[in-house]
Amino acid sequence: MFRTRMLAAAIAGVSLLGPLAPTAAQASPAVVPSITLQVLSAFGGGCPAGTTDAVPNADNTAFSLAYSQFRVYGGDYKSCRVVIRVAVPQGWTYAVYSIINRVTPNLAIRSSARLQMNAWFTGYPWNASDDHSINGPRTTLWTSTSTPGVLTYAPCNQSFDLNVSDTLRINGPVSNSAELIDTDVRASTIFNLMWRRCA
Amino acid sequence: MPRARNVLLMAVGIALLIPLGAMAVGAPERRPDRTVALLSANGSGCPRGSTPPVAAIVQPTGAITVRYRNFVVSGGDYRTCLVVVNVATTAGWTWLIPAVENRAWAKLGASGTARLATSMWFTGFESTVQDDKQVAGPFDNYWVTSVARKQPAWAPCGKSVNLTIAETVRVTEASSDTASLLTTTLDPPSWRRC
Repeated sequence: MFRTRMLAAAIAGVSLLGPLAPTAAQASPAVVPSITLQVLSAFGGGCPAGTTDAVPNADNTAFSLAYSQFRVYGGDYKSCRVVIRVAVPQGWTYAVYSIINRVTPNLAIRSSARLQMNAWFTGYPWNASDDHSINGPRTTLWTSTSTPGVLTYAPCNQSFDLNVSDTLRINGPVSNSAELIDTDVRASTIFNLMWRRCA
Repeated sequence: MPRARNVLLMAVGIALLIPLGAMAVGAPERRPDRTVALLSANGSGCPRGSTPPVAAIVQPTGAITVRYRNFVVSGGDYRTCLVVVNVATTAGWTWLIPAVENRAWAKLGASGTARLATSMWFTGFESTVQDDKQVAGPFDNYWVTSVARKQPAWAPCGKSVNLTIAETVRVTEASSDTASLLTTTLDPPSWRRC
């Protein structure tokens, strides 16, 4: 449902980045809260230093991370952990966001690619995960969207960091491979963001 | 992340912020202010390094031509370059994902094949425009392809939003087969009121 709505809205050009209506909030905000994301770091076997480019939108509500060395061959895996500083207005918290990964596979028959996503806030036990796979033969772009299913609100009244870890695994002979080329993270729409007033 | 943005602009090595003139589609009574800029280029086909991986020219019309420095793919391999473009416009206007023209060189034996896949998306959105072109050997020449939109894809209204253009080149197994993407040209954005 979420996916369909977002797709339809994007094609129709409906204002998705408009004011953040608190869809499921307990109280309507007098002032519309805004959220910003900032990539602090990216590290791991899939994203060695100097091989990724983080490009934020002008309003910092979303960013795109482009990788140049995230290729994985059959029987292997690579990970990248991205640390995102999330800034929200005083007195508000939020939960949920969407993470979109794009992979260029080069998979023959009897091989597969698996993408595992984990997300957590630094220092808090909450953890969300998602897991998608595709089977060979396939050589066309794979777009994989993760929306953490467990709604947990971020800690109140403090600056916090969101950790997102992506792991790409390839099963099959070493002649098969796939490359994670892009991770997009967006946190500012009524479709994937839930606001709540802090107690 | 304004600091990173500046670094990116410098890394790409060009100042591309050019205010655009008239090209409005419909509702011509008041033209929107807008700017087009290349923010970044990175990927296995255009890795960041000491030399910027691409050069780019923004035409006064808003068309962007990206020239790759060394986007060469040989026998049995595939590589991708992601180019991120910003189009900023006045509130109340939106713009259409542009048509794209690619200029490549391919040298293929009798059984060789080269493929060029173009994918485009707005940052943070799942919806992706995709197109796939193929050329079969024997071939030893320039290879020019264009990607027309199969359905209109408009930017989210009312905000500055980034567009990623991903070009993936694939070449079949023979080691003598090679393909090189030389330039990607994005048409000037078309506009309409929200």
